[in-house]
Amino acid sequence: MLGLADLLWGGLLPAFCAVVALWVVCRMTGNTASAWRTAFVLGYVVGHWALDARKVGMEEAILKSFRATEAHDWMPLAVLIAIVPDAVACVGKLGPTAGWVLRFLICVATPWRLLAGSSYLPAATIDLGFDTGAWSTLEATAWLSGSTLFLLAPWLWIRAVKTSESPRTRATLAVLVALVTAGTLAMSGSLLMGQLMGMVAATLAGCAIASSWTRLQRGPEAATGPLVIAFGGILITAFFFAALKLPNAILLMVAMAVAVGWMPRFGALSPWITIVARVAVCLVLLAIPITLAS
Amino acid sequence: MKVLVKSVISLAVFLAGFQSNALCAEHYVIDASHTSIIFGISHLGYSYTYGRFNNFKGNYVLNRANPAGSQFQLSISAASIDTNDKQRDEHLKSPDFFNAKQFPGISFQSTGVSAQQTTNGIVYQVNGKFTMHGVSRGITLPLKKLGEGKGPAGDYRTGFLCQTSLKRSDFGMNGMIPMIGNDVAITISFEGIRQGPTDASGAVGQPAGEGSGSADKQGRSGVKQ
Repeated sequence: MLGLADLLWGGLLPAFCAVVALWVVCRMTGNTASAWRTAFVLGYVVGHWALDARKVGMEEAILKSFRATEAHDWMPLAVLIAIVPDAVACVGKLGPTAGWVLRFLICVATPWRLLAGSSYLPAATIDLGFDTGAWSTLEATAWLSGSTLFLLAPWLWIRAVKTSESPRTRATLAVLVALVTAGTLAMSGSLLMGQLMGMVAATLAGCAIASSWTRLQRGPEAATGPLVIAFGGILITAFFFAALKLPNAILLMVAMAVAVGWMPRFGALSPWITIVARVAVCLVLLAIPITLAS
Repeated sequence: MKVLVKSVISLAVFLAGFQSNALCAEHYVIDASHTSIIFGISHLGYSYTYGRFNNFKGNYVLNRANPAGSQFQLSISAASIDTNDKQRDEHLKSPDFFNAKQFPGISFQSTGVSAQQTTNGIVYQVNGKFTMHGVSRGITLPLKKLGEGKGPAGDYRTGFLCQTSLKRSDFGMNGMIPMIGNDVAITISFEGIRQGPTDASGAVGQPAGEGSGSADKQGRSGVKQ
């Protein structure tokens, strides 16, 4: 099922791009957050296009992101756009407020864009004469609001972490969560979704390796926007278009938030306790969906 | 005055011809109970796996005097795919293949029809727009008329067989090629129940006179020999 070419284009290539991008941006700007963000986005986008290019050619693969027909075709563009709020947040006095407004808008727009034109939110011109399960206005509002919360809550959660708190452990856990999620998605009726999530794992691995190598005191929280949109967007797509169960989607998203984001401090206990707690909670959260899916 | 008379005569001739054509047009609705949409696809090159679609709708207008005036239309629910394996059906509905939630329908709308009399009977070459997996392409379907006549309930039926093949990659369905074949063999056998002759607008009129039950006794002035 998973050939050498899949591992090369969907694994090694995005990881390599992420390593090179993080190292180059870090060297050129010294901005560790920018380095993480750029590396993640570049790794994901290049990997996505490379996987598609094997089937339709590179030019068509790139064009597909701009005139997408399938929901997952939008992902590179969504991940690219997700970099904007953090960039805007650094500009001027109103930057942070504008950043949060943009984050909210992206979390609203992403699920809508992924689902628009599908059987849930059909175009007005589609009339097949079958009941395709199109949502009523109330259902659409409820599902889209839930999906917005599904993206916005982990975005807030991850950004709340103290950046110096065990960045390497958090990066390693993020890779683990993405890998287990890829397995869960592949077992939930769509190899393509599993492959896309595997690419997220490879990109995170590349970032983690380069970050460790260059001794950065930043973890995946530096790329919160692109990470949440890539990870959450694929989960949303797999839930609505493949057979990923809702509890599994929620557990996997919480696992990623626990792996990378804020964790309560346990009083005066050693920082190791927090790390152990983070790892333990994460493993428990991952065990449930992978078991249910298999 | 001469010009006016000529115009009136031309119009009358045109309308007479138009009415004649319109009267020849018979409107049919596909009888789902006697219609099968079957496909076959290679598995690893070792065998063929066959499946079918259980939910579809269609209708056609048959114009025997002028086959070019015939029309065929078919809509299939992609989610109704059935390969006798529930887990495989779920996979086929996923984004790896049909992406049935994204693209719930598969459809064919004819754009031009011609007919040929062969040694095996009348074969209609139906050009049209075939849409699957969100991609529309022009294809030609060969429809062999199998027979026609009265049904058990006294209705009038015509039946056709279409056997063709297509490449699923032409419709952006690239999942698991070549393990699962790119060429898909398609067989559609359908029966239509006549609703009555249509007028120019396609509305159903009075039922036409009962047929003889044989294709050969029907008019086929527009059929190429």
